[in-house]
Amino acid sequence: MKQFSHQSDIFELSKNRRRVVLSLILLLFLMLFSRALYLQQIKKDFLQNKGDGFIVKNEVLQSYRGKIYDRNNNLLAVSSPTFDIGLSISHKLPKKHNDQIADNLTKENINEISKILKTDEKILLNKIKNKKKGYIYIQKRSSPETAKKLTAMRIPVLNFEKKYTRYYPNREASAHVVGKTDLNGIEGTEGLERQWDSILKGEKGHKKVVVDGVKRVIDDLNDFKLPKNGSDILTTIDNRLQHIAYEALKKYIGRYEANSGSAILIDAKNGDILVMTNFPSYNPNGVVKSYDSMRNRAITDVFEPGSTLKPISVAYAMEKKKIKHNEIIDTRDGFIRVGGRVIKDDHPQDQMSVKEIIQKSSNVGATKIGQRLESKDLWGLYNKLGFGAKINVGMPGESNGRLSEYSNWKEIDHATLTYGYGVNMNLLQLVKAYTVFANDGLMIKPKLYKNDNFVETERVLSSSTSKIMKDFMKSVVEEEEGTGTKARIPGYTVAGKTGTARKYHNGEYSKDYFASFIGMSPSSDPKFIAAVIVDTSTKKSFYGGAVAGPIFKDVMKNALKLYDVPYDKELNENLMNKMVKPQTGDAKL
Amino acid sequence: MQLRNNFNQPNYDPLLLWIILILSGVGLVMVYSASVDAAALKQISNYQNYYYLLRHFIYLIISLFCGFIAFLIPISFWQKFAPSFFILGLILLIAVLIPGIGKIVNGSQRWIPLGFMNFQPSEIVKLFTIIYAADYVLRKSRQIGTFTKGFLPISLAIAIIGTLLINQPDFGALVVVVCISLGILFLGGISLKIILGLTLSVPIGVYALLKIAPYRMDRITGFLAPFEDLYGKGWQLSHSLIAIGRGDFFGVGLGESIQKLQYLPEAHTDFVLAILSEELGLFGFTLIICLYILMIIRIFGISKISTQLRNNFSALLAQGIAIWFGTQAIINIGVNVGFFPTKGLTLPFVSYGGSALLVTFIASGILMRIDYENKIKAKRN
Repeated sequence: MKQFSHQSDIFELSKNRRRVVLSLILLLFLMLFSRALYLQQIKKDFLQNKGDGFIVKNEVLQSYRGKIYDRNNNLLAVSSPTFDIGLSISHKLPKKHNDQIADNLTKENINEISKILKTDEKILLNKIKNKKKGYIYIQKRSSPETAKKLTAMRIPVLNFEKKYTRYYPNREASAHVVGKTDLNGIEGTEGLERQWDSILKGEKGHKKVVVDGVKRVIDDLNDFKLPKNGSDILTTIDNRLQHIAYEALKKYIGRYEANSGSAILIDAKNGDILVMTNFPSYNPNGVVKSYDSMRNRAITDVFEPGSTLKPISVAYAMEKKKIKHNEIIDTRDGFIRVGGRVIKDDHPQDQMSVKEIIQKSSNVGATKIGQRLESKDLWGLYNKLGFGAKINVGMPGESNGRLSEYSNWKEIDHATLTYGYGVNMNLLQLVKAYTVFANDGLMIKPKLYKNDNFVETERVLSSSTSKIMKDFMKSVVEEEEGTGTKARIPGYTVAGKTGTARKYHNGEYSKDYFASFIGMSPSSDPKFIAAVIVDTSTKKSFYGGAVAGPIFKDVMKNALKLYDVPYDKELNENLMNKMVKPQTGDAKL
Repeated sequence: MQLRNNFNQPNYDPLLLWIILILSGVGLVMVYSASVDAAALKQISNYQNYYYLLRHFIYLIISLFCGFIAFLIPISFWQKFAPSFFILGLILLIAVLIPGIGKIVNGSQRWIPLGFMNFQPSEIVKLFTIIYAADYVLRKSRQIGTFTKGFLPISLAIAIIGTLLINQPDFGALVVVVCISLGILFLGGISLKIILGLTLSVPIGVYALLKIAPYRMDRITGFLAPFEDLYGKGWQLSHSLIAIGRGDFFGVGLGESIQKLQYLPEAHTDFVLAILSEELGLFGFTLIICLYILMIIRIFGISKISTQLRNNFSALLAQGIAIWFGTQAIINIGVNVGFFPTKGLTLPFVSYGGSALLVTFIASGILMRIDYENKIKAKRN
């Protein structure tokens, strides 16, 4: 022991060098201190701002979106709480642990999660492996029950975000009227959801929170604004009839291999729209695949009404005393030349009464009556009925239709306009025009909102003229010679008119037809007006009465039944057995 | 063992002991605070937030015990077996590189699993280097001024250690080992010409290192402008700086750090000081720096007495340990405040890490022993 120290003791360590080393170390500590002082005093604001950028989040507090109801307080659209489920993956991924996905998650956890979510474990695993760090969503819009089950697992990295998802119990039947929101249930993109978006959505709130590195909320900064919930919308729609109408459209459009169709049913007395449905439709609860199916054809698409316009022009001629209701019109040869063009009847007759012209839908007869009217008067009538101007019923996408000014009319234009060509409109505009016959000459504006009690009326025809025309239209359905016998309803009389109009396409009339039927029942004192239009592809019968009539019958019959409208005709058992097949809609009631 | 002399004065150094105990106490609290969220999120810790606290506490107890054992060992023992320790260090450094013995964590092969803990040979090699260099300088005291006989042999020895450390890789330990050896050589009387030459060769060495391991370059650019690559290389340092900036003068309060909540990786090891600064502010930071300065001054004080008593080995040993603690603290703090690129060096006595704690306490035991022997010798004289 001694000899070691002996050898070294001879040698003397330098005092100065020791001082140099000590000073150097102290100097470096001093530099570190000044650096910290610089960071915490001079760079403080910069660093704290950078920090706040990470840790302070302005969290949106979603307002509860207003509900949409039908006339009987059934829900058409409602928001329900759902949960977006996410995983916070922390920064380290141990490589050799087979069991370990991230250092806060095991394979066993993933297995349990995928069982509860009913998803493929492998897909979930890949999702996690592809993301090394941070936040991933493993399922969006999960039900509260699923979220509850997962919460019970007590996996600390699982996170639940409460959101509201829009739910539409009526699915396809009311999709076009009600519309839909975006997937987050926040922004209305179609239908009433879009029209009344600002009212339905209310006002978002917000609160400032502190989040950690994996986006978990760890503190509330007590800086918030509470959300204001949206208001509800009450409509005049009847949930049950919507289903019946939609199913009927679907059935007959399928049977006749047609393209599309629409149906409307309104209360004849106050204009309440009970039914507005179209086929094809879409399920607003899911992702829409075909944009073509999203149009509310009943108000967006226009068509030339054809024969369904004859009762209007002919009634007006009676009103203007240009023709008596019992006059006989010469319809010899079944055709008439007007301005170098030929107008033909499908079933020619030598002569016809005014009633027969309506009943059998004679183009020649209607033209001859129409020719007695001044162009200015006919235009004035159509203008008064609102052709060429949207109704403003309170839904997005309403079309104007087109009615040209009478000074531009040629002789042939005047002629075709009397039987429904050269003017186009949407189905609701046609329904509005027909309210005239249901209310003894008064036109009523259709409406969609239950709280809107004001019934907007306008006199178009005298009571007597309108009653006579209604009787003529009754013969279309109730008499064997009529074109609309397929629209007959046991126990109720129907007054209506068929229409079979060629489709005007790219400047030419094609071989495709719009088959339509519009009518009201009970004819003595109409409670409802219903209109059906089907865009046919001509494979089978294209006559309005044959295609649209049965759909009309399904809808109207059920409406009368549901609203306990008293019978106005004898319930003939034989007739019933002959005419009535089991109704698709009944089962739904 | 007699810890008090006849005049009832303690034979150990109470100031140094207190500094060590305060630093360790602060370390225990800060390791718990910094690791509480990381532990609660981890499967291996069974989601228990005291996982790291418990382990650190056990390491601390073991370390205190080992430190006491070191205190009981005469300094002459370390000098006698200095070359053997050096060889043992080399063997450990080779062993850790053998697949199957060494364990790879985060791309570095630095640990030998012992079951109850992972042992890090580079930590003990720091101490062995000090012992070896101090002994070397004294053995070669007559030739220490020359290049070939004084400087070259030990340079080669350090180069071998350096090569082994680069292979792990553990650049932090390399820097510490080089600083320690150069410091002891300088204090032991190496020629100033060599020092000058080395100073000039440092830039060349850095350049060579960058050529060997290009990923170093990224770390360097990352540390110069951390906020420019906020979501990549600059993430860790940015959040360390944010933590320090958020701390302000007195901090956000103990336990209230937000940067430790999954923002700042390695919060309880290399970046524990950033969390301390966030929670206790510049005040806490300054306190830690003062404790280190006080500790270094105290150790140099002990070495001065050893020099006066002609205990040259003890003097060099104490100075070597001071340089070690000083360098490691400076580099760690420098990394935290963005002065140096990220190294992977712990803060002595404070950071989480069993091997580092164990070795620093053994070194502290040796320091106490040096002081004790000084007092005995002084009394005898």
